[in-house]
Amino acid sequence: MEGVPVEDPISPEAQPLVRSASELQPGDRVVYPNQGVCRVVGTENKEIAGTTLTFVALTREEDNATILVPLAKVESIGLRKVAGAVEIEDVFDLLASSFEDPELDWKVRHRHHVDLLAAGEILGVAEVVKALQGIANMRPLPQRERERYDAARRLLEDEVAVALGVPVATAEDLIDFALIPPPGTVRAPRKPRRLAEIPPKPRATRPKRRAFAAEEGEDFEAFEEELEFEAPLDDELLGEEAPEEAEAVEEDEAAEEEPEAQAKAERKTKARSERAAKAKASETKAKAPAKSKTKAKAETTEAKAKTEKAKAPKGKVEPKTKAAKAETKAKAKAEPKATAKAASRTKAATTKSTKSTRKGKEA
Amino acid sequence: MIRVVTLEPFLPEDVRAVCALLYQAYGLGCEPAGSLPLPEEAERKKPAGSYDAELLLQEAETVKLVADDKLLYLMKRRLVVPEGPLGAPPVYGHAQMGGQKAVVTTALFPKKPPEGTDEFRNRLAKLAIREIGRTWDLRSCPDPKCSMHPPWAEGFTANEAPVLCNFCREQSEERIRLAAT
Repeated sequence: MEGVPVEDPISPEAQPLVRSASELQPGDRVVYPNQGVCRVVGTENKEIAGTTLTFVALTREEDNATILVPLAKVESIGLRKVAGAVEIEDVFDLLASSFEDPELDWKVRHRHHVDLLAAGEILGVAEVVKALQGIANMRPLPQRERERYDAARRLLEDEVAVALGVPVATAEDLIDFALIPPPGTVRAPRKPRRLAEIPPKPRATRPKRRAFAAEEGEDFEAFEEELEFEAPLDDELLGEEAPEEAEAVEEDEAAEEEPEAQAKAERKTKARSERAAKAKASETKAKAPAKSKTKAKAETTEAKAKTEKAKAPKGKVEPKTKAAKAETKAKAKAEPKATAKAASRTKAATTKSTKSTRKGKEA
Repeated sequence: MIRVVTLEPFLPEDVRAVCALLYQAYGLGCEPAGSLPLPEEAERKKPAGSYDAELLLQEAETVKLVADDKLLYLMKRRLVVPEGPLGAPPVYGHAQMGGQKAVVTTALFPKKPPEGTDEFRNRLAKLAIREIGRTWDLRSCPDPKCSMHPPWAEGFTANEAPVLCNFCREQSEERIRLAAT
């Protein structure tokens, strides 16, 4: 090639990451993820908030902007050397490969592209350009993706230009030639040999925050327990109030019907003894094969009814039934009351125990 | 101001039409600035009669330019750029990215339409817009209707109107607004 201004010939080695600041020399070209190709100027000392810090000064080649990187952060920001021949071949192989179906979910696509650009690998940048070009072939790109396409293209073109030692305009033509072949160009449909790997994100270790979160969790559990008790307590209160009211009403009724109740009790005992005697008689009769059990039962019930009707005066029937009903009611209501009270006692005991444990913890 | 210089003979009407279309696209004054000879230093033996695009921009004579002026060369000979991993792309023009000079060639134009027709002027103007855009650091556009789309693509020739898409127009306006003068 005659007259082609070649600044730096393409390096045959792969693009290694810059592991420490000592690897950087003034004049070196490095690639800063999401910023592009930068040239190392040297180190600078600056006093910030009363402390003197040492920075590595970089100049971005695109617009000569100065970037200062603290020495301690050189390893972690993903600085790397300019792509070598192997990477450039992989990039053009990827750009010339057939378009894959684009990711339709824009959120997934956005996240993937942001991750690829943040990783800073040239193959990842090329992947973003390729994917967005594939979408642009089908429909116009939305504003945000158009901006990302432009940014990715700039990063890619600048690095390819530096790696191949050609002007940026030529690098752009080469990339366009790979992405959009002229009509009549036949390229076998193929998949790229290699794709960019997104490094796993380091999980943030925040021990203090986590301990605080654990405490918060405990508090929350205790609060939940309290809530669990508090909610039924209201119900209990409501439940307790209702039986008390019922009791008061029953007591009033009982006071009014005391003489009737005594007579009722006497009659009841008499009736029971009579029933027992008749039952014994019916059992003996049932043993006889001539009479069926159903007939015997019917007879006994009829006999009971007759005797009750004959013995009991008509006007005193109602108080009997009322008293029986009151008794059954009192029994039925006394049971839930007792169980509710027992439950409330046990719950109160457990709340006390949890509160005491909490106090112990806080202490 | 955009100044248009011919390195080979062109019809004056075509040059004036290109200037008018450039003015429409960028809203900047554009005028023909005469003709200059082709630089011999940029000539290449392979392929015969071709010129190295980057070297031509470096070696070609210039007219008087002030800061932020752009200079566009028009020529008919073939231009070449270095080969890439996939071969050499067809070269319709070249520009100094973010610089002042750009060149456009009609060597790869089809024989029809001939010079002097509107179609020829539109096609030439579209190329001129693309190369001048690159001097404002605009990059290739994926929109086939935009003049910044690669010129060998089907969309570029299918859409004759020499216009920029919204994104590229906004970018160019921003660059022009931030210019020194």
